[in-house]
Amino acid sequence: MNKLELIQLSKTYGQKIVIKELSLKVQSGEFFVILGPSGEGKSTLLKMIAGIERPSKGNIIIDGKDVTDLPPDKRNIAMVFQSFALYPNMSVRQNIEFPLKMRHLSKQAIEAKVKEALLLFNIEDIADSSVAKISGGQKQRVALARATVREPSLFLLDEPLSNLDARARFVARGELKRIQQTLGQTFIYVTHDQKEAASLATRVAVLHKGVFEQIGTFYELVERPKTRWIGEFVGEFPMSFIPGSMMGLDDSVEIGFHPHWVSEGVPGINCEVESVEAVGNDLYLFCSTDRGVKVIIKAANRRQIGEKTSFRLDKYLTFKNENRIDSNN
Amino acid sequence: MMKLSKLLLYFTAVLAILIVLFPIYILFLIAFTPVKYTIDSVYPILYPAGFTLANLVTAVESFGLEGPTIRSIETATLVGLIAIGIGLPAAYGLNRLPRNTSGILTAMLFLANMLPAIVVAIPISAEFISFHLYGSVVGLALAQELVVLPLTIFILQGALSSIPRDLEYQARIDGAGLLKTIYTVLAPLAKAGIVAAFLLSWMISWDEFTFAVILNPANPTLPIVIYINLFRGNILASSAFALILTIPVIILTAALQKYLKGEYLTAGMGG
Repeated sequence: MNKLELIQLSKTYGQKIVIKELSLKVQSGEFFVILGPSGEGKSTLLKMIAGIERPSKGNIIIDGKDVTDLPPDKRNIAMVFQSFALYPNMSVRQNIEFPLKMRHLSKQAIEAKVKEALLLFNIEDIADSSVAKISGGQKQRVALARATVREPSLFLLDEPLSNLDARARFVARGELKRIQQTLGQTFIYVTHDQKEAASLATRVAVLHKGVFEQIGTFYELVERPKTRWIGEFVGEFPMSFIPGSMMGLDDSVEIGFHPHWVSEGVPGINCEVESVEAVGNDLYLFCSTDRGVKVIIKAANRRQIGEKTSFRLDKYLTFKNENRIDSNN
Repeated sequence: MMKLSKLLLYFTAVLAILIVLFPIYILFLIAFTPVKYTIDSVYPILYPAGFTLANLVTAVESFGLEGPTIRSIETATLVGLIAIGIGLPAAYGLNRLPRNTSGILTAMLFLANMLPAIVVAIPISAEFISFHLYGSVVGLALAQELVVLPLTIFILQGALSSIPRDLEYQARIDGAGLLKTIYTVLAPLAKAGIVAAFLLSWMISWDEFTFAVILNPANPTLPIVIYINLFRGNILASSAFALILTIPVIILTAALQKYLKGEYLTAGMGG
């Protein structure tokens, strides 16, 4: 059964269209990531699912029930905000208790569930601390504990890792994945961070201009982008595009390729290295071809700026009018 | 040079404090010094020549003090409670409106304050007679809300707007309804603003004169009793009542200091 279904959902602010007749079906147990650059309406979409923002048009179905007109407290969802939104006047324990108290559970039930949540997130030692006095990583765990302590039908997460430093983010990412699998629950996760999408998602939807430009696994988005824009947006580096004539086609089409689809240092297209970037053990070259087209390729050899080299395309995709028209390899 | 300017600064500060405190000093002087040195003297002295409680005892015994004091306390407390009870949801609602709309509405709240109280008091007393509110504590408290409520709402708006919206959303998602969110999540966070608004309302009502004299002449509050006694030449009784009027204000102002330092007052000013 579909956990969440969006039907022709639209949101406009005056003249500005933020979400445009967007439809989506998310299965139970998915870790569904909504990926997109800032300002594309990701948070607005999540807030509509939560019931904080009212859609201009369309319907939101959770567990087969139309919740479009229900307030947030009647939707049985949990949400983790980017700011964590911990109640600053309450202790860690009181924060986690809050959603249970609002649902009028018995005292014993609340105590048992809170204890379980504290254990699951390994925060028993700070249970009675004020939330003002704990670290960012701990705040994130408390926010998650509060979200998971009752059994919501859906979890919404709005960039929950972006307030953490790099190290804490790496740890928290693994933790999130573990929690989601332990609970077997459905997560809708909004982020602009590709690494998070790549490591967490069972499926990724890329939001662009108010619609999902492509929905699929992260691997599919990288290897088989539907549009030129997806090719440029998804991946460690943007796809490079060269005119069709450079590959013996006509110039109405463009050839797109990712840096790792080329063999560098073998005869083919000549180019000059303009800058070099190291990522881990790999070296990436920002080059300019004979015809002045800028491309990014993965280096097979150590190269200096200003050096001349050449590369061959092992794999490429053909695009016409912003859309992919074939799928070589 | 540095020393001199510092000295001047202290001198000016002390002088300012003396000027402000002088009337209060005179009040205490008249209240606690035997009358022969003060109001019965041709040349009243400015230092305490003796100490007596007889003045207060006489004033309390001969001019019913209890009634007006209790009435004043009742009115001021009721004014404070109504101000918070209505002001908090009103401030919340105004904050949720688009900025332009809420700005206009807040300005309109102060319209009643722009009219002289005496102009407003007359039609109100006429209406209150027909509602049987004339001469009652509740009626007076309601009339005083005209002055108090706009100010309370303004302070509470500032206090509420300093609370991040995410907290409110989070509370709603966690299962709290709108009212529960306002009272269990927002109100505790706006505590300083609420206390300040309550104390301010209390003090405004405590020495409010115009509405009190027109709406409750038969059941006067403290300021009216002071006025009546002064008018009749009972300086001693006036001072005794004035003393009673002053003491709670001094205590409350001291209490208010703590809350007026908070950031919530500026929160209403910025973006």
